[in-house]
Amino acid sequence: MQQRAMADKAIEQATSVGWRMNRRDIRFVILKWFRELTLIPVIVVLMIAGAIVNPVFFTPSNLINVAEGGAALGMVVVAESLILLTGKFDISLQGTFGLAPLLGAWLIAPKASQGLGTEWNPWLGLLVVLGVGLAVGAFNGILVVKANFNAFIFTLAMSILLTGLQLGWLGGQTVYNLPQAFIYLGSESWVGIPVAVWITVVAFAAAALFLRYHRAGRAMYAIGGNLEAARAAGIQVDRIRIGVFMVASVLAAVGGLMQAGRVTAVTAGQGSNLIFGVFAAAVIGGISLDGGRGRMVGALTGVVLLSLVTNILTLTNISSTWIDAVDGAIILIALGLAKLIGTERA
Amino acid sequence: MSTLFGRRVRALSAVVGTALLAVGCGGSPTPSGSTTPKIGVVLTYNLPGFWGNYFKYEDQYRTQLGVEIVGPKVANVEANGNEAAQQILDVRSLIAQGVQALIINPADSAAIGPALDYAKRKGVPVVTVDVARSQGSVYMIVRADNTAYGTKSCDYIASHATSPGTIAMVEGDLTSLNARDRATGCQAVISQKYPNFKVQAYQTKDWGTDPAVQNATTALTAITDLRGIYVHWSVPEDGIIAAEKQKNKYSDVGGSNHIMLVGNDGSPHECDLIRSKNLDATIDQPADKYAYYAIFYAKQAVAGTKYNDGQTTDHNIDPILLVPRAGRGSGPGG
Repeated sequence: MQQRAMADKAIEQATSVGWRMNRRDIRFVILKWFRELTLIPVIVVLMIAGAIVNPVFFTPSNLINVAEGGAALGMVVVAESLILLTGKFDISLQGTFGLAPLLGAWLIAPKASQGLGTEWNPWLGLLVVLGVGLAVGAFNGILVVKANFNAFIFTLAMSILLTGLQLGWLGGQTVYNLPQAFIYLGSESWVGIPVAVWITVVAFAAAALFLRYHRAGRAMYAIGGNLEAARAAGIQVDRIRIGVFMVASVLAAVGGLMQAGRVTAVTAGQGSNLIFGVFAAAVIGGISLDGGRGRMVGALTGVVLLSLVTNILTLTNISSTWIDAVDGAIILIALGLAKLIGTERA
Repeated sequence: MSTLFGRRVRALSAVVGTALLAVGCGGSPTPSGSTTPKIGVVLTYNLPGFWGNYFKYEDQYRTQLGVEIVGPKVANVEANGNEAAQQILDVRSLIAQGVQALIINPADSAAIGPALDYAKRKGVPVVTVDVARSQGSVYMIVRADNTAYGTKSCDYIASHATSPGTIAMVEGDLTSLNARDRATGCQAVISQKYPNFKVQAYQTKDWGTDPAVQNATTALTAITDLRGIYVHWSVPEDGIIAAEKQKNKYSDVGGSNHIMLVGNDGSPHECDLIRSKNLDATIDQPADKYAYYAIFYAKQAVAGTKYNDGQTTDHNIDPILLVPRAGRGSGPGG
């Protein structure tokens, strides 16, 4: 009981300094928001560029395309941001993003479309997807946190393993003919907006509220800021960090399900190279690679920016051999701008 | 390709083509074999669905043709981003294992050069599949006429569309000669034969499924007089159909406002889509014939059969247009 009170106090100290200052200094509030929203000017510039490039850009239909294009990426960005806040890494999220839906689809698809032939109920398939996410997350979390493996190299190895399993399991075949329940997330709309977009927005909002108001959420900042201090204060750092790994992997699996639903198939290459975009979105959105700093609203602007870039490049018909170069340049510009405005970033 | 040999091969492939049509989508030539040469296989995985099919047929034909297959060694795209270097190592290790011939799908048509040189020094003949080499010598190149893919696909869309307008072409990775040839074929036929049509091209890096679907989705939004979508390969088709449905722009083949969709590959799933009136047509990328001819020529190479020097080593398989109703070809020379 006493320990818990101590932990609460530590969390309070780690996170409330800014809030006490708020009341005193209105400039601090502005600065704080400014810091999270440094990408807004870049996004505005991009939108103007988009409108000039192609009048179609500002149609609702195209803006929905932008949102939908970023939805699956967004789920993984939420996941990675949570882990980054606690001061860890997970590169294997892209492996989970591909493997989890592939295994689920394999169990429910008929043999003719590369399934196992067991043709399980799609809901069971969905449980398998989430289960794979949970299992991979628990495995990563326990070995990185408890056994103290280096998070970078361990999850890198896991990523290669998961991607390899994804390729080897079905010999590179694509699983298709997936039942409606399985592809629902990626293929249906609510009030004209794709379900995937709703879910991603909800995930961002839920993560933001959790970090802001829940005890464990605020403890994550304390852990990422100073692990030993957090431990000394009685925060159950290991339990929280393992839990974050598990939640993140499940979110990545759901992201993979969204993408599978959108293309109504699971390919052996799903998720490959996704993680670069994930880190880019999180970091330009202000999530610190060192842990303990950054907010979800910032990460969201990172996702919006990357998705806008993709959409505008498609509308301009720029040669695909140049897309990576343009992508990289825009990320660098965003980083430079953040530096210029004075927020310290990775 | 005007040589005697070229014609003979084309005649052979035409026979195979007919057999293929008879069973609609699928079917295979039936050869015979005697000795068991040892053949090493080095592939990439740039198009997982296609190569997955290829493996199935390779398995089938190795028993039919009576050869022993070592491998396939597959250069892992994820491993280090340098598949070409990996393939050179693979070739060396297979030759060390004593293979008598090699079947290679080069990751890069130029960077495979050193591997080909090495094989030549060791006296091991090489058959390349799907990709031509730009340097080094090979015994035979088994690839399809990819320009014809583009020509037949876009000709089909323009000749069957209800009114003139724009065709969106979702291109594969243009670093591959195959995608470039398909793009060229489509653009050429439209500009020569159909002045009322326009082609709007969208490029897709690394043959990515999701980017391809995104490209098609953008086309659905951005092009007001969209009459058809030509996608260079089959995997994104389901996603494109789903995107059309989501945007309320979908109707079955033959519907009044139908946006045509033509893909390339000729996979069994595409045949299902054609039967269920979701897909207008596809071009058969005959994984079975690739596998068959690759093994066939590797075996010929081991047996020492000479296809006279100085003539082309291209074995161009003529692709076949698969359309609804009995899957009969209607493209030029189909």
